[in-house]
Amino acid sequence: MGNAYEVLVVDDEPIVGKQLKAALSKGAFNVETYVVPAEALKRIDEKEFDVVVTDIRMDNVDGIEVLERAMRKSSRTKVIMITGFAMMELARHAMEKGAFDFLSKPFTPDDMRAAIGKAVAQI
Amino acid sequence: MAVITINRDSYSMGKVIAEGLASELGYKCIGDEVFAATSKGFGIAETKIRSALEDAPTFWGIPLTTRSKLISCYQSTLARLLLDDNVVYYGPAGHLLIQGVSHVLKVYLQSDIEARVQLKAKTEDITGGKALKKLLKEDKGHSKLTSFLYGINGNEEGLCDMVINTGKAGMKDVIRTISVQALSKRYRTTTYSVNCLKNIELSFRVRAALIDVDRDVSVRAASGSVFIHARATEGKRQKLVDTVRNAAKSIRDVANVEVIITEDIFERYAETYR
Repeated sequence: MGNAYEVLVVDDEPIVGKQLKAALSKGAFNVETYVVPAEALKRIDEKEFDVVVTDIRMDNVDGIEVLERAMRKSSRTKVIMITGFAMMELARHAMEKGAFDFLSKPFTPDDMRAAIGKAVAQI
Repeated sequence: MAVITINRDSYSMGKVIAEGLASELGYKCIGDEVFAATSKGFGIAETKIRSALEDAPTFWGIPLTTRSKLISCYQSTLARLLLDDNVVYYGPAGHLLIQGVSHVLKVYLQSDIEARVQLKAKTEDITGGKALKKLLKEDKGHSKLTSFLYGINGNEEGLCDMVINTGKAGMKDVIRTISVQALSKRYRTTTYSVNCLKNIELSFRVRAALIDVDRDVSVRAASGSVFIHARATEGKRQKLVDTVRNAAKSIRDVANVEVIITEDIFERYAETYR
């Protein structure tokens, strides 16, 4: 796909990446999914993504670390944080760190499509 | 970008600061409009709603069930109006009515008693002594109200994100300080925080509709699913579940209903002795 947006999804629950890939496949997105955060970090270092969707609580690597790494690679990358443990303070912390949006799990495909749509509109 | 709620001691220049802030940020400023919108939305007289939120409880005052219903209606309306985003709200109890929403910046304005007395005396054209006496009485009534309605005994400012003494800082500085915070990344609107507001709006709209069925009913909404918690004796359980479910299902935006009933032991013992 020539003008497709590059999206990376990292979540240690395989179902999340699988569902997001399916939800975004109808749009102009190239989606790469990772369940091992360290592999996602390595890929972020190699390639500039338009949007990174990351879980916050994962084994070994924190979602905030993914956010910081993605923004260090490129300030134009929009990072969307997702979590099953959403709380007001966590959302504020993620936004303060530079996240573009914050969603609680489970989210609807429409919510995620809307969030990614807003993100790419600002690139 | 954000929603700001201004809560304050009386005569702390809250409304003036809210209006100045809204003008500075280009936000909408709402206060009394929420009473009017609640009245229109639920078909209840505005005076009754105002009384439920502002009058301290008295023995002959508004019955608790009625008050809870009126406050739920107000709470739901407020959440709906805040969904417009870019709003400054200066009406009653914003910090208590809307909780857990990350893009809502809760500000508490304090002022020294001397400054408040001076302003009250000037506004009402009374002596300083009289103004002090009236202020202390009003503060006592306010504490009684927040304790009765929200279970808060003092330290309301502890529930806010910012506490500012308006007597020590100039008006422009206060407005600038709040503006800087409101525009910071920390208070940006997120999909999660908008959904939290939507859930509050629906929860309290459903609660207002069910409160006549069970005074102690509590409702939690999550993306159209509502979880209703009520109390009943074993014998009345099924009837209550059916009544509550049918009533909730007919409410706009409600997709699924789950009713959780815990046993009302007081009612059970009362029945034993009847």
